[in-house]
Amino acid sequence: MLALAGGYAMWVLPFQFYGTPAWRTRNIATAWAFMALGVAMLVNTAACMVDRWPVVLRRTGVSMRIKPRTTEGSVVRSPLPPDEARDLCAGALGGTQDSTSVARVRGRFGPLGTEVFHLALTLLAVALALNAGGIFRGKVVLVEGESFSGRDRASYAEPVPAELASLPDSALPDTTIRLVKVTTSFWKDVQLFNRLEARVAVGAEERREVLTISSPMVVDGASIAVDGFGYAPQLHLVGPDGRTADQFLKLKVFPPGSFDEFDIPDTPYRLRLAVYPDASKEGTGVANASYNLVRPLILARVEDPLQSAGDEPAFQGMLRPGEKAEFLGYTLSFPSIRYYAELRVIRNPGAAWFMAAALLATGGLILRYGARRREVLVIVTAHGSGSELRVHTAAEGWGRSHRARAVERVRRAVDGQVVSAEREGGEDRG
Amino acid sequence: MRTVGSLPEVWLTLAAAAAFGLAFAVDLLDAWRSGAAAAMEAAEGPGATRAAGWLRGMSVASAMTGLALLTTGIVLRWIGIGHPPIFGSWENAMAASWFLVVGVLVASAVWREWRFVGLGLYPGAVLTIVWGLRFNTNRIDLTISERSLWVDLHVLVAWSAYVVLAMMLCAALLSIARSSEKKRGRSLRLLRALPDAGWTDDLVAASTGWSFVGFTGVIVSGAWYSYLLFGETWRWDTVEVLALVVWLVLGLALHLRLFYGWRGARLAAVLSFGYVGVLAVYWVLALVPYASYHFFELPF
Repeated sequence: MLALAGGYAMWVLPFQFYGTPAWRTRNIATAWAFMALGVAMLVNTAACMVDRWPVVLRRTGVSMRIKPRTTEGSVVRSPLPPDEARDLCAGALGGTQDSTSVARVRGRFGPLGTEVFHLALTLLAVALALNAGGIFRGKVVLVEGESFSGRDRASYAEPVPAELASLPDSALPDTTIRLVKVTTSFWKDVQLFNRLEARVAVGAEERREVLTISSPMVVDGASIAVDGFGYAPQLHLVGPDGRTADQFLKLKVFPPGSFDEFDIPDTPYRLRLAVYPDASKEGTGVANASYNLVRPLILARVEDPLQSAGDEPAFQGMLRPGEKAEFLGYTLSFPSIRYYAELRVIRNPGAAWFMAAALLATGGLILRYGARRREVLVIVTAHGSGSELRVHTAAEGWGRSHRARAVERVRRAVDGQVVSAEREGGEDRG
Repeated sequence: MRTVGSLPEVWLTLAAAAAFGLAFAVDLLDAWRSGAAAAMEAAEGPGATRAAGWLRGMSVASAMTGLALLTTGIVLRWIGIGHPPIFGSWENAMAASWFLVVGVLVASAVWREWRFVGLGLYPGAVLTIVWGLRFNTNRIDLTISERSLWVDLHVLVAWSAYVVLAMMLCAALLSIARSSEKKRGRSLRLLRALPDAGWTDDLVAASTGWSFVGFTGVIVSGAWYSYLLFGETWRWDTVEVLALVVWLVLGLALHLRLFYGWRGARLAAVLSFGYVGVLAVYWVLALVPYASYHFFELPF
């Protein structure tokens, strides 16, 4: 464990502070030396769990572990007679009493927490092993109104087709999703998204879901969320022969005004486009007020790829949706602009195991520390006209606090005085 | 653009810092005066003599006043921008100092042996606020990736753990001081009213255990949110890796104590080393733009 902590501190952190990408950190951490260390730790953990199991079971027993003969105990003297003092003491501690003593055991199952926590580490190893088999990460880009089928490899923008082709069908979610609507907004006039929602219809039954970047839906074991969007103007081009081209073009959003290029089908031309989502024309320039699709303006430039760089384009101009422009017998327009959404599709086989491990680990620790085993044994004897109560305690961890509270509770219950406070002992290994 | 003067919460927070500073000064004076009564402490447990002191009341009143000012500032900001203080180092400073002071007040009210912790956590709260002033104090809306109750929960767990970790550091430093006293054979007057070596060991054990629980909660809640956000529970992000290191160091300290009997200064040194990582996780990485997706300093 020391080697692991030291190794990380020495190797990973210096790289991290210089902006090392996560993949490099991952590569370092999954190097054979670290993997071997991880396996050794796992074996060690499993062996310790097996080795300590009888001890843990013993510690969950009802019988008290306090040995009054071996500990001095703290002494409280009370003016009350022994029987009354014992009754009051039992009531205050919530313990059981016999003719001479009061006993209380709390947190019997606390020791199991340690085992549960270490068991969780084993589950974590299962999660890592499952993920080593591969996490599927796909990206789908849909314009509002478009659908995709999870097992149709052509639907995916990522990963590359060769990688997709090598995947079994079971790696891909068996579902269909139709993008109904994308809603987005920015804060003020700066590049800070404060809303990005994709409303989708899922499956044949068209079940409605709202996806955001942090609220995915899980379909057939795959987590699907929206993690990007863009503008998709609808290109409508009528050629001199009356043939039309009609399609949605998916443009980049950032930086605003950056150009995307498309070959126009069945023509020799290339179209370069930029969208200003909330724009007004100012002379020959454009003023864009925000990134919200409020008053879109499309800057279009039609070029012949065979032309020289300095030649005039076939067309260049700014169009609002619905406006038409003509060049060389063609009629160009953009009847509408829609949003498109980028959906990330991830199948993470170890995620469920990881979360089970995480919950078990947390639960185990809370059981271990929140319900640690604590014992109090109070032996009551007569002392003159009153009584003397000798308070013995034991606890798994921070025994002094436990002892101080127990003694104080007994003192208050019997209206007594502490005449001798035990200062050492009484603490179990915990 | 810095607009310190136009935001009421900034001034309220500064006033709160002054109150926390006063609480610290009073606690310091109290510890100094109580040093002579250490014998009574030894007999009745730490904090016994200070409990009755008017200085103690003054310290609590000062801290409560500061807390009221800071809470008002946080509420004003929350109402003004529509989200709890979780975005950027200034908001983190407000939240952290709030949690630190609440931690002192709750711990010292419930557990008498923890009363000394104000000596560490009050100045900690003041320094945190001063640190926060280095950053943009403007009110900025939450970006989409931070708009989730799971983020709020993650932050809540993180600051709760931070308080316990800070208490652990205080206990560890006190443990080092006690070891040093033992070596030199004489005790400092300032430390006489503080928990003795045996109690300190108790406090170190308790706070280390609960720090481990809390930090596990931080990592688990973060892993869950990472799954929601990226589809992956672990991404080898800088903050994640450093948090793992801190977690391992805490686990290491627990094992050293349980199985190798480490106590006192040796164990405290390990814990203090771990706390350096805690500071880096919570604060320093904010200075390294884009080293992590936990970077929230936006230039607006």
